[in-house]
Amino acid sequence: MQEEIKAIVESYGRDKAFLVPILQDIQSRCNYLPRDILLELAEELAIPHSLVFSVATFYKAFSLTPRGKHIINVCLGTACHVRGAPLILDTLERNLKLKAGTTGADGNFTLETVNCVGACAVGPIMLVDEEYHGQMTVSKAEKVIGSLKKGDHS
Amino acid sequence: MIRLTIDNKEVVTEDGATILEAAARAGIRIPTLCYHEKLQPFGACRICVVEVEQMKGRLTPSCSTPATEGMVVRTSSEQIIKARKTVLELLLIQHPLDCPWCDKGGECQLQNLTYEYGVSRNRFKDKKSDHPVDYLSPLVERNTNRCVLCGMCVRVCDEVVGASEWSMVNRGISTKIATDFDRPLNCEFCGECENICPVGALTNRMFKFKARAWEVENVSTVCSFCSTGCAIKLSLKDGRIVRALGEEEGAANQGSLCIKGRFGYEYVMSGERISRPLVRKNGTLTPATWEEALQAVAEGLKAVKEQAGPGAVAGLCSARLTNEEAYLFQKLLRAVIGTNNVDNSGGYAHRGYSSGLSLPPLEFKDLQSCDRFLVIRSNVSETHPVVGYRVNVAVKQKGAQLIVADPRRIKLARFAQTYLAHKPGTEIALLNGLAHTILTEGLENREFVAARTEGIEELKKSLVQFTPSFVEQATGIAGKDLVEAARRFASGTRAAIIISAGMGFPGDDAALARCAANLALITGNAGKPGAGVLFLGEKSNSHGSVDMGAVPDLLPGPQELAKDPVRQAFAKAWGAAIAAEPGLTCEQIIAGAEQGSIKALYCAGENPLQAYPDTKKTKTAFGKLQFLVVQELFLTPTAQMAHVVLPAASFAEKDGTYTNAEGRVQRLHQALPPCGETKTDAEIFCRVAKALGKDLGSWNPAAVMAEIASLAPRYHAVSYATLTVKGHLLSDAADREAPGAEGAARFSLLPVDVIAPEAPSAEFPFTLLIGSTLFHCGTLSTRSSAICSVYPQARLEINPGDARALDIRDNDTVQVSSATGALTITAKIIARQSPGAVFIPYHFLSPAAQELASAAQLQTRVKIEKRTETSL
Ligand code: SF4
Ligand code: SF4
Ligand code: SF4
Ligand code: FES
Ligand code: FES
Repeated sequence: MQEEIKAIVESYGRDKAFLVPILQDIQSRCNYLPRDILLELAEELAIPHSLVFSVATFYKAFSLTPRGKHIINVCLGTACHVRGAPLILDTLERNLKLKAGTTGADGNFTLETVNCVGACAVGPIMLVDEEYHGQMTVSKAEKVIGSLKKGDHS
Repeated sequence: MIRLTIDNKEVVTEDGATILEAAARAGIRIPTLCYHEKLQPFGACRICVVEVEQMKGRLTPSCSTPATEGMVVRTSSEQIIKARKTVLELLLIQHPLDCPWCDKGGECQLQNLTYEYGVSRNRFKDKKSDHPVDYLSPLVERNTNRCVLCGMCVRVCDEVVGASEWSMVNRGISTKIATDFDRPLNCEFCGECENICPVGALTNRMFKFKARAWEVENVSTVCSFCSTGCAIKLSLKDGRIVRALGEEEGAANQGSLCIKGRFGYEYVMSGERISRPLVRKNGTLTPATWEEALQAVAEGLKAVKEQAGPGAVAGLCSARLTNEEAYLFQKLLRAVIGTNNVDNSGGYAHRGYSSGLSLPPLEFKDLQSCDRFLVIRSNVSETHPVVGYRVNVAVKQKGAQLIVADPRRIKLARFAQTYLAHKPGTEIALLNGLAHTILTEGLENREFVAARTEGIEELKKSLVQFTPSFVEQATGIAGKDLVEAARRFASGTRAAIIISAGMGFPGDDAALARCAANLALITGNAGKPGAGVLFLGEKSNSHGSVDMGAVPDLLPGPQELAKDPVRQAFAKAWGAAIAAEPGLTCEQIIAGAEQGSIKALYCAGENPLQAYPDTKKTKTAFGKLQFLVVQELFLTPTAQMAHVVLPAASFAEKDGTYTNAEGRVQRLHQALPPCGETKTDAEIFCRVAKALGKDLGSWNPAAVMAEIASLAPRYHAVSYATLTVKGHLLSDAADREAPGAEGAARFSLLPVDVIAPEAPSAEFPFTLLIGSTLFHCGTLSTRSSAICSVYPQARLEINPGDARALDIRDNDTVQVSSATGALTITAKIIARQSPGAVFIPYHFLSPAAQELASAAQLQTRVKIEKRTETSL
């Protein structure tokens, strides 16, 4: 891993101004931002540990805990909200036995919320691994999850 | 200059000032929560809003809005008050309002502003914040429920202290201040963050539940540890010190402190203090009355003086005595005993400023206007942390360029443009190499050299050999790096060279100081503020001890003992003849004791058996003394060998002055009555003299200073009547004529030969670097439990590669031995340690690094072996 971190840092010319894209690269490589790697990154870029942590916790896109195989996002932006997004979220929480913002013990699902993904016209929106599912209803949401679960078993 | 109107008042302020600063200049107060003059403006809290006519009455934060010509500002109006009230209401929504048991109560800005603006009810409602409190961090407690997110802790730690331990984490409503991954603090523990926190979110754990802010009495005095000489305030309650604060008015520190100044005062109230005189009876130290003890001292000294002459008596004093005490001590030896055998700091740690440096000291505040720094043999961030803060500010905020030369990758190396990891002990070759490069490349300041210096030709000749390739061979610094560093240094307009002195360093400081002065002079870095050499003595009165003549070859001033008129003046004033022959140095005194020519020794606050190199040798020597008197706070290893122990008062229990490294004479004020039967060193010296049948004069510090002022020209203007909290900057430090100014003194350029350190041998392959850590100063700080809670014990710092080769893991026990001694110690693997060299701080009694060193050698070579289970 050490080598990979070095390579990523190198690819940005060791410039601390690129901290955010470097973190993105690490996250896409590791699925989240592991503590050891962040501390190592701080050393590589010669910046304080606290700064890396501050940036990593500022952006919602970064996760400091391992994330599930599938990442489900429910939009709670105003437009989606008035079209019943909270109900969708409730359904998913119950179905996945997860609280929003957490990952299941089996590591299969992470349930998160966002505030508007720019597709208000077809809300409520649910994102599955960055794929948009529009005009969600409770039953549609359950179906999507069901097929993901099945896929996992096969 | 900018002219503006604030509250109908005409205000003139300098360019770049903010509205807030302009208002402050005019005596108009604007409330703030996130502004501090030491920090860059942040503009987060919005309590400081004002109206600017030109901005059509829009509210603007005064702390971050620059004042402009013709601006018309109002700092108070209905609209402003309403806005400030709203800010306070918003801050109070989640705030716990646990004022009755919050340690900031009474000096909390949120509390004060809430009261001032009469915010007695809140239009907004929400749950009170309920984060867990961090009780795990040593010395600083964090309760983020009380935080107002002003960010001052984050900024002071980053911008001033340079530790960057805190940051704002998360976002929006869940933003809070934290370390990475919210672990407990693991930092410099300076307490600057808790001190600056305007509310009770960060508090001083030593002060916890000790007193309400309004109950304490504050006594202003000076920190007793290093020669930065930070002005402090000791808060007292019920006759005890409950905390120490930096004095905002202090000229040396502007309110800042390091861990030692803020948390190190506890030794004063330690239960281990000696409170009664002790006299050795039948081989054991037994409590005695002052009368008995003084009698015993007089008899012991008199007997030796009568049998073997005054030259068989010697005195060693601590560089923590006040000026008045150091003066009385050398006067006691010179005028009453009749010997010049008086010295301090191991006889070598003061050489840099007592006999090496001929340039006037730099003023700390001017460091902030430097554009170049060369930091060499100085982990200034640890030896003199608050001076280190100034370097941080100059480099990180003002863009000064920094060259760090140190075998260890010290903290400042992180901010340096050039870092030179030279071989240990080769600083002189490096400085000469820099001077050589500057001269051969024609980068010197010709005008200055011609007008203000002499000896350039001799200097050039002496430097011929220091070519980049020669220096590379000697120091391990690649030629091109040397050249780059030389160019960087020479291209500045104000360069400061910073060097630390100390008991742990090799004894070649005088030569080092001369090389540094040469380098400063050829580049014209003298005679202007912020340019020159800053030689930092180790202890609170390291510089004053030399000024007071507590050295074998100088009389108070310091003035040269060798000069007849000088001696005559003192002889007349003291009514005693003064020997022309310089006295013995510490090293010679110890050797004399071993050979029998020194028979009586008076140690005043000095603890050679813990602080001097080659403990074994010193111990043997002291064992042969006919009479040893030790005046101390604690029963140190040296005191344990004494025939008489005289209990002395601590810095907090006396009046006096210290002179810091910039030549500032500052006043100590007594905060506590002397512990037990202890007396101030000044009084003891006078009483000893009396027991010897002589009169040393008054021990009243003001009267002693008047006597010093009458005899030492540099101290002429120092008087207790006029000393303020800013102290008095000695005249030569303040006196910086422009180059070429009429009558301006010429500086001598003095060639220096290099003494090459012996190469590591096959038997002892490692170089041992002995020095100070951030957390301690001398041996005194090891008596403060707060400091020991974060740094309890010496450990060997070793580079990861070396550790691997020796199969040493973190926290393994290792045996370190040199030709002089051996010890066992815990290993700490640390990347900043350079390969081939190991580091041990010297402060501790056990393991005592100085057991391995020898005053005869510049570098200590050691071997390191891992202790296996069976060998333990
Ligand atoms: S105690 Fe000092 S070093 Fe530690 S976090 Fe506070 S300001 Fe920073
Ligand atoms: S802890 Fe104190 S200094 Fe730090 S942000 Fe909060 S209120 Fe400000
Ligand atoms: S030890 Fe030195 S830097 Fe630290 S507070 Fe005391 S005088 Fe200041
Ligand atoms: S509110 Fe959901 S996409 Fe905009
Ligand atoms: S003091 Fe100006 S915004 Fe906080």
